[in-house]
Amino acid sequence: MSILETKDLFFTYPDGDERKIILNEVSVSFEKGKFYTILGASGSGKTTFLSLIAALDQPERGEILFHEKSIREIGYEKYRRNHIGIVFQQYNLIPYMTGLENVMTAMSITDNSVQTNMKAQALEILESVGINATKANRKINHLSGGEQQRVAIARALSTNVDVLLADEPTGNLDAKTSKTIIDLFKTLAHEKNKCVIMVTHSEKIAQESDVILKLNSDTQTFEVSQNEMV
Amino acid sequence: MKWFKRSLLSITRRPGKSLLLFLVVCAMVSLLAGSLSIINTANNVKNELKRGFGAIASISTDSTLLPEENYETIFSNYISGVETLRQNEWVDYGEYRLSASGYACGDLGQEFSAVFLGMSLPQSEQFRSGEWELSGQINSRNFTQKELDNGERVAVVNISLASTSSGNEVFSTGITSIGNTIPMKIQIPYREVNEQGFNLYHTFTYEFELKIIGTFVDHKSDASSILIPNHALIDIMQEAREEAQKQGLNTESRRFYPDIDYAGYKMKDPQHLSEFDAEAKAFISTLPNGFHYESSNTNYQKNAGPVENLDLIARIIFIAALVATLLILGMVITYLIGDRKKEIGIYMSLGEKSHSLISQFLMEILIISTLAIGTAGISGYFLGNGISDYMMQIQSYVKREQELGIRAQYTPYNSSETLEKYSRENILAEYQNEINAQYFLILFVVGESSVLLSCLIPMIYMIHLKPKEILLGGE
Ligand SMILES: Nc1ncnc2c1ncn2[C@@H]1O[C@H](COP(=O)(O)OP(=O)(O)O)[C@@H](O)[C@H]1O
Ligand SMILES: [Mg+2]
Repeated sequence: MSILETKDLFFTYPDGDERKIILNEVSVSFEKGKFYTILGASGSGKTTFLSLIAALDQPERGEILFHEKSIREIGYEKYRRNHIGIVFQQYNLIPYMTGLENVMTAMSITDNSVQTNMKAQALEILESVGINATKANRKINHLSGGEQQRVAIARALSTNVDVLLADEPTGNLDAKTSKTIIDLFKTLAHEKNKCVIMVTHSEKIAQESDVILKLNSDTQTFEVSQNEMV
Repeated sequence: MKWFKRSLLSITRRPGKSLLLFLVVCAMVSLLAGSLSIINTANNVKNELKRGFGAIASISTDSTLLPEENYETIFSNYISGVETLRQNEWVDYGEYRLSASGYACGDLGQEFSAVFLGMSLPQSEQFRSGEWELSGQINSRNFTQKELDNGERVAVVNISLASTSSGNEVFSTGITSIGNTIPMKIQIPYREVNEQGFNLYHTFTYEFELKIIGTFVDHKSDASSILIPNHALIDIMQEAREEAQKQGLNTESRRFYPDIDYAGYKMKDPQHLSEFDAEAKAFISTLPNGFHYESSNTNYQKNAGPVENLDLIARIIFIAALVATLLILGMVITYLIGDRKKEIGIYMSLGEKSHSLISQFLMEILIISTLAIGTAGISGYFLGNGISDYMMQIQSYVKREQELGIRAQYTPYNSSETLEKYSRENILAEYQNEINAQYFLILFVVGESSVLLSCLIPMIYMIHLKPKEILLGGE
């Protein structure tokens, strides 16, 4: 059963006097326990797709269903607050806070019941993504890129959501660090039963996922392929 | 990390930005506070000046300007007019003073010159101020209102006319004089033109009697005055005119009427003096030249010029500072918000509610502003005091009597007299403004509301930020 589904998603950007179609009636569905990658060339519309399922923007036509309910009905703000976690290429952590405080900020915003014993929970989640208590109490700018991205993943997970959305999360990381982050996503999908959707332009990284949705630059729709190797 | 905790965290973890906001608010509110403090001072000075000048009004007379002939209507209009002004709802009490000169006659036929002063109040202003005082003789009393209204032939005489020490035997000094009825004379000088066209000067004398009801001491002058009801004086002059007419004299001359000294009024409340001013001026305009109206307002306006200017300048500075505060603060806050776009985008991507987001940033700004306004309150107070001290030095506020301009005649209802009695120091002391709770209250209300107002546009800008553009851009 799908947790997240798009129906005839249509989206354009203005392009001179015309409008350029980015997503042309895109209908796909995502399940829990699977690691998805959105693959495509630079400028093909991957980020645009992610921003729609992350409710950071709204489609022109079509619908996004979360547990078969339109996210417009749920409310975009509420959907972001309670149902998804987002990981960005630029980490996007609050610079004057520690890693722990960044995580606790997300926890205090969500309506999901994570408020009790918040600090201990946050430290535990940080630990599970490889950030120990010492590092957790450091200011963000005293952490390496890989560590910052782990804090960002911990923040996305801390609100107890089932869906994890990531836009080129390893884009700024070296190959070795990238590998550990990808492994972390795999574990989250397969062991924690999360639905992980990751945008990448790297064919190699996409091979690590269970399902590849390749954005075709001609049709502006996805070509879905299952990855039997995993 | 609820929004309130985040506010505090941001203030302490970003000390440079907090300090910037603190300094800007402090500078702007200091200007506001300085001008408020001057406005406050100016108001105190104005109130003190008003208190100093009291709430009194007078109509004085310059007899050299009055017409000599056809005086009957002028006189009767005057009497009914000043009586009507007494009925004005804002008047606490009022009176008018007529006078005539003549003689008081002694038992042995001696004559002592005397001035008859017409009264319309049992306690006329001179008695209230202590200038006149009823002497301590047994049965010596002042007029009753009934005696005044009916114009009874009763008199309160200056003790000097009754004193043996002055060699005056008209009234014996003992109690026997009070209750006695004494013959009096009024002398009216008049002019006749003879067949040759020459002016001939004569005196018409009219005799009458007054019952002595009291004696009084005049602490200010040694004029031998005899106080009688105004209406008695009017009646006596009327009788004198009738006598004179029998002798074929022209009684339409001003000389056959009592002299008009002044009318004076004390208001219940200085607030309504202007309304009385308008009514009194309208009345004066119906009279010929020779009548001069002035009130506390007249003197207040002559003296309050510099402080009114100071007040006006302070008000202009205040409004300019307010506009500048809104603009500059609005810009600084917009800059500070723009500087934190990414952070705001993060809160939005985490699904933070708009109202919590606004609360967080407003709280942060309000905490810093409150500290800044407190500091500015103190610095603005010194700024304001410095400016008003400076203004004090270059301008002398309370003009001296001689600078007040021409005044027709002294009356006890003249406010420049009142001010002289009132200490100049009282007024000058008001320039020393004090820090009080009210000043801070006003400052906080004005300061905080201008801070909040200047947050309006930045806050609207903030909630319309697009998290997608902030967070997902950049490849
Ligand atoms: N705000 C915008 N206005 C106009 N065109 C845009 C805007 N944002 C992105 N685009 C265009 O839409 C296309 C898809 O962009 P994007 O989804 O960011 O691609 P990707 O993430 O696959 O590189 C690109 O050609 C980009 O230039
Ligand atoms: Mg992209």
